[in-house]
Amino acid sequence: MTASSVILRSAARERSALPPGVGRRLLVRWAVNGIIATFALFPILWGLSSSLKPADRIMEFPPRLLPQTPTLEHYARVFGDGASGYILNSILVSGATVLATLGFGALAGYALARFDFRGRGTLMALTVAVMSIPVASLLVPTFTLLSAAGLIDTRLGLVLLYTAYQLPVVIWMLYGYFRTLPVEIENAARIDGCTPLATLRKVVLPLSKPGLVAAALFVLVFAWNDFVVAVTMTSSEATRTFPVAIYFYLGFYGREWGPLLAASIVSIVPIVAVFIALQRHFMSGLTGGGVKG
Amino acid sequence: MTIVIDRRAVLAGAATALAMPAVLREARAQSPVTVTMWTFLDPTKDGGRERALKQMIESFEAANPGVRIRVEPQVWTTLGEKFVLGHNSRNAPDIGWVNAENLGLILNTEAAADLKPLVVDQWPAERRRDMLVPSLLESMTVGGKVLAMPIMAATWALMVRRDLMAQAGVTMDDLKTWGGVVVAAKKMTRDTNGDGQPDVWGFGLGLATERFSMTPAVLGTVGAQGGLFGDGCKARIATADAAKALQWQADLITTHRVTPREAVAMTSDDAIDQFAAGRYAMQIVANSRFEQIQRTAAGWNKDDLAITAVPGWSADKPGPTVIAGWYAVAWRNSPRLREAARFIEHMTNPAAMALWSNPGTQVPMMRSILARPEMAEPRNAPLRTVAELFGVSGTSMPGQCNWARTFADFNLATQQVVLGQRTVADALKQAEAATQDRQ
Amino acid sequence: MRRAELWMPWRLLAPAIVLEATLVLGPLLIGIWYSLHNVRFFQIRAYVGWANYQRILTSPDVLNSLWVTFVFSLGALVLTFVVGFALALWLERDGRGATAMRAVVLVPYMIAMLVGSMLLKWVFAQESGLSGMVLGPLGMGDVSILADPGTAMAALVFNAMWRDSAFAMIMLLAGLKSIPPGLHLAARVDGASAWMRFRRITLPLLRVPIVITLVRLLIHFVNILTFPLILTGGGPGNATETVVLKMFRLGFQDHVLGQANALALVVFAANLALVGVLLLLFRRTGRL
Repeated sequence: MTASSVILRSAARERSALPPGVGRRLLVRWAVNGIIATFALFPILWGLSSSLKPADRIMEFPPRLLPQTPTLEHYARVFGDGASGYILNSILVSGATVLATLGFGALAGYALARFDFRGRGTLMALTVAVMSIPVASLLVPTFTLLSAAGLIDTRLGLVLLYTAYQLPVVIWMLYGYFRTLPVEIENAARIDGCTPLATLRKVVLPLSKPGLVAAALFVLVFAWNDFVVAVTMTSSEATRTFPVAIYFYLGFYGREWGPLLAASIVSIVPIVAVFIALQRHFMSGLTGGGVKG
Repeated sequence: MTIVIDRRAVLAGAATALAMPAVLREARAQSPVTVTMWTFLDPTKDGGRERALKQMIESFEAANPGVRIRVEPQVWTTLGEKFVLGHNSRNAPDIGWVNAENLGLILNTEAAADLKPLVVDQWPAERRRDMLVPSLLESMTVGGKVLAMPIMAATWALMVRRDLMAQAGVTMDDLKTWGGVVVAAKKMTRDTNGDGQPDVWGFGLGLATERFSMTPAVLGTVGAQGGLFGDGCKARIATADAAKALQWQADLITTHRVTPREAVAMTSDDAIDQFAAGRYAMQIVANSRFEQIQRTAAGWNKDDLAITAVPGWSADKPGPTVIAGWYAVAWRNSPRLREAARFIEHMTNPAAMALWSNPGTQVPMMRSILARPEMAEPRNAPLRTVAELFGVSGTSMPGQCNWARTFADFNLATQQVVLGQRTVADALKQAEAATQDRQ
Repeated sequence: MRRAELWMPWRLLAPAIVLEATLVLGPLLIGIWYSLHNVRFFQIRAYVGWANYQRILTSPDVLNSLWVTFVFSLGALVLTFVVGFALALWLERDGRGATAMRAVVLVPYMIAMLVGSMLLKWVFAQESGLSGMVLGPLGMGDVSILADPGTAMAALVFNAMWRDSAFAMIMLLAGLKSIPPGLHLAARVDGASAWMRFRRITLPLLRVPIVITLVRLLIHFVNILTFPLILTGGGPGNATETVVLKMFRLGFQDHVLGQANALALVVFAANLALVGVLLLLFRRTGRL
């Protein structure tokens, strides 16, 4: 444990020992938290509440905040329609995308952050440039390209595309993060005979957990929720991802709010779970960064 | 153990898993002949239409051993585009379903095969006479080639709430003209809870330029001048007839106040939701949405929903029944074109049409189907009503003209008039130019 | 330096370069090729040179959409960044409450954009009766947010802030976590006020995460399609038709892909210019 964290802890203990101001401060804190939560969650809670209403109550006017006769029929329908298979596809595709972007992104970000070589500046500029291309404009040429490569309607094709689209951002994020790390430790590792790859793996990456988690979360949210790319590049049920499946409830015969909302609520659960699981690493950055101080 | 090696192993494993379906599909394609079809229906699901399709596939496969039909259900809004993209990269399905709005796209590309020799020429003579709307086939004929076959017909009609009509003393005869509709709408617009805001509006509209649908302005224009296009798909929108129709539509919001102003921001889906919520007394809606409105009707009796003809400008001439719906297209470069055409025939012959109507609950497109005894049953009354309208005032948009966004052009024009940004004439001039640019 | 060392950075960069070259730059080049042709219904008809660009840059609709995009992006960028930064500072400490709140704030970011915007539209719609629950007591029960050009734009900006503040928060939080806590303590011992510490310690040390967040958000907002497509449909009266929505409509609804690609390249160039300006601003006010 570093000296600073000891001080921090004792400071925190000191604060909680002060009786008079604390109550009011706590009240203010929870009031502010309440306002934030209301803004963030109201539309989604409304969606949750509606997803629990029978089909002929969802549109009711004036609206009722809570379902009068809650039902799980829409959730049953969503899973009856084969949601598990589509969720599995989404997990495979998003998981592979996250691994690929973080892997390739860490390599490239490290090269840009720690090596001085000719063309580095150009590459940095290109990274930002690639980030700025509107993806919608690439769809038609990409379709042709993937077809020619035999990757149309495969999960691998989706993973490659998602990785290509998100990699520049991840490189940038990780580049930025690596730059904030003290270079001295790396130098020490290098003197100890570590190759650059080993330094990256054993020293840099463990110190970069908050940055990696932020980048992973960012990529995960994109890959998990993408509809436009998936609907264009896949066509069979075997490759259908969950967002495309959700879109089927905006059908020709009508917009089915019940299953649409139920599926959307279901789709949030895995990422929130991932985030909660990753929180640990997010906090450990405190001691990780403490190395510098 | 190191992170990188782990990651490599995971990546290699994932890549193998991800590439699997492609390999499997290759293997499956070896079986005798597999015809792939893209449609928005999923025959494995429960539902009338789905069951109808499933039965057709079963009977076809029984009659044609060695041919299998594989259905790949698609998101309906992107079907047409993906079919053409697939054609461009030599990768289209053998059969694609296309909605009427996207026929312009298909008919303007070389993606569709000529079904005339493969299907239409094989018909017995009485088949043509049996069609309720013979012009439907003509609108899909380009240079003598028949490029699409109608499978399911749908149209837009006036949906009304009988209970609200009765309360306001409005009869069906009052709704024969656009003028009569305004009078009725005024009677039916009411503030029931006394907050100064109507909570039941006489007429519902969805006027957004995304997820749009048919509106009275378009129907009024088509009714008055017979269509939206002249020879060679020249747009005819900046006309006196269109101005009358557009003004009528804008007046619902600005002058008569029988439609909420928020209609300018509502999609057709939004407006249908509000209708189901009991907020509107009348609305122009696709007949295919009848079922959904009944199923989601909140706070009113679903049996009070009625469907009637599109109003006209005078009582002696009913409004147009514009036929849209779904069409089958065979891919021109399909190596299994013959089998594909055979299945298209199988999906559109009288036996199939009977299935589409029952259990499929689709409006019959043949006189012989309409004449069947089960069509006389009360539950089929909405279908019968629409089929009769097909016979009386059925018309279709010229297939080769691209009208996919013309409804949105009318909606934008209405928005601009309601917001006071443009005059009716200016707004229509812009709409005409926008539609013309797409041809 | 050994010879292998010289090639090291390129070996590290190779996978990224190969992937970007084939899957992004390749299609981009095809897109540039399209933009010089008349592409109707996804099929190349004739070479037209710069005609698509000429047409795009003189179209009042496109010019309007560029202005709309500018207003939206600026509003969304400022609001999202400020709110995200405030959230990051507010939820920086590692208590159980703060961690739970971080998850709460992230939910709008995690739900599919499409569904998030559909739900917001439901909430904003006067006719659904939900916005009336908030606006009614304020005496604005007859206000329709989405039917008026000004408030529709505000709703669009709100949608952006509602969803993407969490992204800014996470990015900045990761940055805050890399600041050694000792620095703040030392400054506090020296009697520096909270504001002073924020100005002198937090801001300078967060330069890189701040730039990355701003650049990323800016590009995201300029290129966003879902918000205007779902929430406002570009209306009323084209008041919220952003340039990418216009591009989408040209390509996939009007089926004039040549013009759509010309517009895409204009947007691309504009993006680069904006990012360049942003980076210059930061460079001028201090080292990156």
